[in-house]
Amino acid sequence: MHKSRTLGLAAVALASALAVAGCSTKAERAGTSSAAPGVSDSTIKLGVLMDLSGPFAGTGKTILDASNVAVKEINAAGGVCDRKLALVTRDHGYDPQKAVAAYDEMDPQVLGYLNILGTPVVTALRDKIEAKDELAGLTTFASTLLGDKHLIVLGATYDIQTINGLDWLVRKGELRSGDSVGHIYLQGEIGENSLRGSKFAAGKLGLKIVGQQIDPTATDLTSQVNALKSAKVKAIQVDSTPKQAASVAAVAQAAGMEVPIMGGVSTFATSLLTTSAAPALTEHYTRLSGLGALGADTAAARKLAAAWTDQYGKAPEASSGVVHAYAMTKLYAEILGKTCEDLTRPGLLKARSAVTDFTLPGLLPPQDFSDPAEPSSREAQVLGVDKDVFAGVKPLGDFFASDLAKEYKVPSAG
Amino acid sequence: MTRGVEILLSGLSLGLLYALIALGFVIVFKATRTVNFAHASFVLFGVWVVAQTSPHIGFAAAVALGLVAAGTLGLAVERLLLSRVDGRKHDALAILTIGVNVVLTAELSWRIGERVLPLGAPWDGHVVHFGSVVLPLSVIITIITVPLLIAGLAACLRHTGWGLAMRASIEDREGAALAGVRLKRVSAGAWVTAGVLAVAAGIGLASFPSPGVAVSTGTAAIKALPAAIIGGLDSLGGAIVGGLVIGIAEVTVAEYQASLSFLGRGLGDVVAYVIMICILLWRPSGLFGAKEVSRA
Repeated sequence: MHKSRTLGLAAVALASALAVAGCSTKAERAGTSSAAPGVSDSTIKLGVLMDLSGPFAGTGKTILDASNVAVKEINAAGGVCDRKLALVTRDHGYDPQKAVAAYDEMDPQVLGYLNILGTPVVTALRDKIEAKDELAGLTTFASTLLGDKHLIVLGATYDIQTINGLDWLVRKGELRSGDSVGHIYLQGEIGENSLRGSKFAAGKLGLKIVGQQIDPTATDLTSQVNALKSAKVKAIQVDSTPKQAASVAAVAQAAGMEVPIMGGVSTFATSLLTTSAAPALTEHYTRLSGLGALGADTAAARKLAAAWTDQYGKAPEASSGVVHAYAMTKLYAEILGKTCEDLTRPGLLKARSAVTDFTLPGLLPPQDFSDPAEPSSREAQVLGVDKDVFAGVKPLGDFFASDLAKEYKVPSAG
Repeated sequence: MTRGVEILLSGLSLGLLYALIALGFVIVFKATRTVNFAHASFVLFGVWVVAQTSPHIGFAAAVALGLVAAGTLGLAVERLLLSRVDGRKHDALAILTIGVNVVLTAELSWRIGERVLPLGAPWDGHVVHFGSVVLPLSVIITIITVPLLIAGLAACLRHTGWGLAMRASIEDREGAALAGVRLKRVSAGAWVTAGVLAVAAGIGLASFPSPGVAVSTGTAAIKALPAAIIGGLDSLGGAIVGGLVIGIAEVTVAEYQASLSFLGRGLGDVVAYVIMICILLWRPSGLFGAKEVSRA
């Protein structure tokens, strides 16, 4: 009895010693601090904080699905730093309090955050993310969130997209100096950021902006469109929900306004092409985006569209949401790949600045993350509606950065 | 001047739709003394049925089906859930309706997702010109048909057996029961009527210039609850006045929000509740609500 207990203790001690030795060997091989959360010998875990049950649940699910397409591709190609990527997802229901609780619970399990949805959520978590030196990808194009090395805003910001859009309309001869441009914009981050861009472009191009602020629940925009008709605008810029943008296009056409309508990146949903607004959208509406479209005739777009269809069956509602989440995941993998020898949170932050030319040809123009205060790109693409292409929009030209967009100074960041 | 007319008529149209929804709240409340918090999900359910079936069977048949479906849903909720709870426990019944709303909204949100489903209404895409005033045809149709619907409902309440039974049960529940009024039938009728009114209003909310049915259609319907409370919650006339007040205020505030920005962002979203609070401070029973009399 006494002998067997001694043997047992010896076995436990030996096993412990081997385990410690094994861990040391792994840690040495990986060159990581044993304290780095979310990193094991075989896996790197990244957090995804999404709205999966609240007002943006549809968007949240699309982002998550697109991230999973990219993760599957990355892992099939061997993973990153000899490890597989794994996502730890939590639902915040667009509630900052829930988001803080979810963050606190998942934070010890993840190295960083692949994607966080919702400005109120980001605002609630910024201090925590900064205090822990973490890197977080965001689903937003607000230039007001630039300037923080902990946050990734991928692509041209709302204001720069709008500047490129107005410049494009002038170059196409749709607008001339002295013309009025209606700008229907949501109150809050998206609309006001875009309005800053339209005012800048208007000042430089000799245009006059006639602003119409709306709130997200407004359903009938007839009055706003009529006001723009009275003001004799020659084009309309819209930064609204997709449903509202469709309403603007339909009302404008019904009221006899034959003017181009330029929508911001978040103003289109594929199912709008089954509604009565489809003819008006097809004829008058174009959309600006810092990201490519799934309906583009490029190898990368076709590949992603095929992967999406394989996994989820039908076309997504938001093509740009899919491309954004897919590109963000690929970007995060690129950043991780630059810090394999130091898979820590500070290591990730350092590696982010080393990414100066990230691109997905056909889907994303070159992105430079060396200066957090600057947008990663000033290029955008004009997309037109075509019900015959995947997800309903296709590029009308290449990515471009207008001289005005290059000259524009983004708001001083916080 | 032109803008003023457009704002007034758009507000009137929206207000009439809110009034229809508010009437649904009021009828259920009058019959059961319960606030139906599931009413917004009834609106969404009804128009979802219309949008789903319209491409296959045509708009008119889809509307008929939507009305039947929402009426049946109201009946099912009343028969299968609420009738099993002691009718005097109004708080428990109200909480039960919150549960129904959560389940129904979650299911419909999952089914609709981010999509916008077209209603297929024949007036989609049409506007009407009155001189310089331009209005969607749906606004004109709403302004004509909703008052007719409301008049029909009022006539039902005044001249039919069910209406008489309902009025009797509101006046004195026990007395009405002793006189032979079947309270369960009154209650079931109220829930069916509420469901039907919800769909009628939902069709208006999802019609042009809105491109169709989305999850947000149900959210818009929630704004009718302050309208019902402003009117007094147990007054049909009050629901109509409350709906019109909220509708016109919402459109006007949205129109002039740039000038009202000193009051903060999103005033259009909260104006219904601000008006409700102001009116309740002035008249705690609402504009037309019956005052509660109690002996100390």
